Amino acid sequence: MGSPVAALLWERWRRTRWYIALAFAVPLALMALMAPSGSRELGLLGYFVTGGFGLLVFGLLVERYDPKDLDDSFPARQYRLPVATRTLAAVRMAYAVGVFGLYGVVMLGAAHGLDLIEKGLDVQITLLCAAELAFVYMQAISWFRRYTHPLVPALSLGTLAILGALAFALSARLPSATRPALILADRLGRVAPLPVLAGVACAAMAGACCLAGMRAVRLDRSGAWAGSGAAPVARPGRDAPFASAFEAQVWFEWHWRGWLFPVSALLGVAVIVGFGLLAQSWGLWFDNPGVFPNIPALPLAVIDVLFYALPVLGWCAGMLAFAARLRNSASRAPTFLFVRPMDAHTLARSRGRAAARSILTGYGVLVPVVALLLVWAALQGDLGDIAMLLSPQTAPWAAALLVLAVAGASMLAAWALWLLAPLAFAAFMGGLGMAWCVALTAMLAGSRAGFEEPIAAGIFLSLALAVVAAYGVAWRRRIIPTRTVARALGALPLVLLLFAGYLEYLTGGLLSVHWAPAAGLAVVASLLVLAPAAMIPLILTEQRHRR
Amino acid sequence: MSEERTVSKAPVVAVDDVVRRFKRHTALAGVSMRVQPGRVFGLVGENGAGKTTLIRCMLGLLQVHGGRVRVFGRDPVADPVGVLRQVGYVSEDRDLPDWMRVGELIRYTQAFYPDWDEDYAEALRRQFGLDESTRVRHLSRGQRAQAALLIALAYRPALLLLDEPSSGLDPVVRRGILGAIVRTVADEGRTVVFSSHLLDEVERVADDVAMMHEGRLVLSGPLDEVKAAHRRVTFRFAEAPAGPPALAGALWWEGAGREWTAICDGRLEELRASAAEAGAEIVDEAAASLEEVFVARAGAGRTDLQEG
Repeated sequence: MGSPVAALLWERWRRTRWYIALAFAVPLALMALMAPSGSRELGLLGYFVTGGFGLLVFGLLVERYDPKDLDDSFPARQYRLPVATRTLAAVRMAYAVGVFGLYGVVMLGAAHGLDLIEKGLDVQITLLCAAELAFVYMQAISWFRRYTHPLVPALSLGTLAILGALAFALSARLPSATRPALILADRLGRVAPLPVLAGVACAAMAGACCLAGMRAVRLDRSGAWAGSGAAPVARPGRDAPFASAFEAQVWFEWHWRGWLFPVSALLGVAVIVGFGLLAQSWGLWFDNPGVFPNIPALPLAVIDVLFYALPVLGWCAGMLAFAARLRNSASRAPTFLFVRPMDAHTLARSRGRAAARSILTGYGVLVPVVALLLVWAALQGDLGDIAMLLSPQTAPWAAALLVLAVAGASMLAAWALWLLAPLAFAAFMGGLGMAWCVALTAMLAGSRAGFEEPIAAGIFLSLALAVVAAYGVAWRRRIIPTRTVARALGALPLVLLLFAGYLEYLTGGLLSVHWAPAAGLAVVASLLVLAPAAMIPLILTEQRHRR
Repeated sequence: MSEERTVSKAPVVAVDDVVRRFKRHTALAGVSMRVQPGRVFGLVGENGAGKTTLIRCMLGLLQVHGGRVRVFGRDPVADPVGVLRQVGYVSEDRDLPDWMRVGELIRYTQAFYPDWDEDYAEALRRQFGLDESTRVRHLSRGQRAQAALLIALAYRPALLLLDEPSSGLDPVVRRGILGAIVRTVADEGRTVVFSSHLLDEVERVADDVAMMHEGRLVLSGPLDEVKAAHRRVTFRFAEAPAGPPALAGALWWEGAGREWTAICDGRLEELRASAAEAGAEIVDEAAASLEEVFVARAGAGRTDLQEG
């Protein structure tokens, strides 16, 4: 290496060469493919060129990256070199600016040479100048370890002013140009062509940024900012100790299984919404009023499907959790937990907290999507159809959806119990199946075929047996005490009463209010959830000390 | 605290006539033993002898179907928190959550132990060469064992339970764990119970030894006494016996033709006398290795030296 400058440049090249190669190679390869065929996929090319800019920004600005820490400050290791500060800063800045600018020029030149840019080269040059200024600004700012330094706001304001003015002037080229933009463009045009003005202004500001950056490096090297800014915020578990065993266990439960429900909700929502969008663009049966007259307009129909999806999502998450449990049982992960000095109540509380967080996060995924769909429906003028979803006067949809909502809530509660203990889930299955099958009955009611009563009676009987069987097994294995079984059985008369009322409704009797049975079922479901929840510490103790 | 434990005569672990079954299989059939404070206790036996079951009973992870287990005078099932707070445990399969990073594993475990020694944990981490950002699933077998040992040692537990700590490890790591760590723990006045089917490593570090065979304790006592009590004696008979000779004082025979080697259980004079009567002369006599003692005891199924 002939000189310190050459050595510094070589080091930068070694660190950034793959970013540079990738940024250049992909768009140039695409252009090479497009040139002989005469293809003009400018949109695609634009994406890749922009991606290349992004790649270079990352590769040139970020000194070190790992999931915990992104360091884009000036590397302190170079302060140990016997090289002047201005040389250190200038080499790094010049290299980054040179590579970034070269990339822009090469891309612009290649596109122009291949006749891919039909018009507006001056616009492209102006944009390139703006991009270069933005890059130099980011580089300079990243070297300030304290953003309270007076140079930071000064640079920010100056850069923003120039970039804003250029954007404003360029907007005069648009069909929707405003009068002030036209006036500004006209006045600037009298001084000099826009690319020249942009070049001068950006170069001046970039120079100021470079000087400020050197100042920042000098301050940094002198230790003016020692101990500030570099340390990331410590997070319990990841970087710092936990405050308590309970906090540690909540963290464990969330990272072990708690994330499954939100992720499955996210995936489910993505699939459903994606399907809805495809249905609209491809005219699938799903959105065909001639085939399914009861299905509301598309955004509302997607909400409708989301209601259906809630139980499915809960179920899938539960199955995933079960699979995770099986997988971990091979390495006896529960033993890892059970040899910790932690009582069963603390473990149960932490799992409950993780389950609650899991469910809330899952809803946090669902609710904004539903809200956006409602906005979409409102923009399309279909919001009136929301009555199809919510009004009890539009049987059988409303009743079915209400009961499905109950079933969905039940599924989420079941998910919580998955986290707590599988046996509690088993004990809950009866009530869960009940909610589902009542929903089925409600939908069958819409057909008015006259076979609702025997079906409902059969379903009820089988579900009652399922509840009794689940509790019976748990009681026989001494997992739940007799009093818990007694409480669960005590809920059965309420179930009977509600079903009697429901059958009355089906036959046009006294309780002709759709939501009453569903609300009643919610009460029963809550009771069925609470009963096993009360025995969770007992179950965990049972698991911990195997008989 | 450790001084108090050293002075105390109460056993750290007391196991009395413990029975544990898995369906029809009896894993522990009336096991009794004592582990005294400040000692390194080696639990040896072949695979399936009941060592792991016994250790899991000490931890309260398995309830006993008969008898009694006390650790620090407490029932580990009735008072798991009180017992586990003083116990460090490394399981045979190093059951650590694969998804955690080493740093997370350390900080997670730290939350449960008020006596956690951060400096000691960091020293161990450096000694073992464990990178904090590495996920447990990416650790080698040896590193996994070291990580498990780190989180079991860093709060300086009064009792360290190691279930087959050297299983699947190369000799260097094995020596590191047993030679350095275990002895250091014992030298600080704390107690170590470890199981192994590698008798040479037990012989190297244990103060006391208990031998298990098919759910029973066939021998238990201080290692020195066990070794002193057993001799390996080679006889040359005037005429080749048809099978293993039946001489008083011999636990186990090996040989063919006129030369046979016996493991003697302490009644050496009796064995010599009966051999002389049978026309045999002694051609070699030496201390028996622990492996020979175990093979002899497992074959004989005797418990002559068993304590309390």
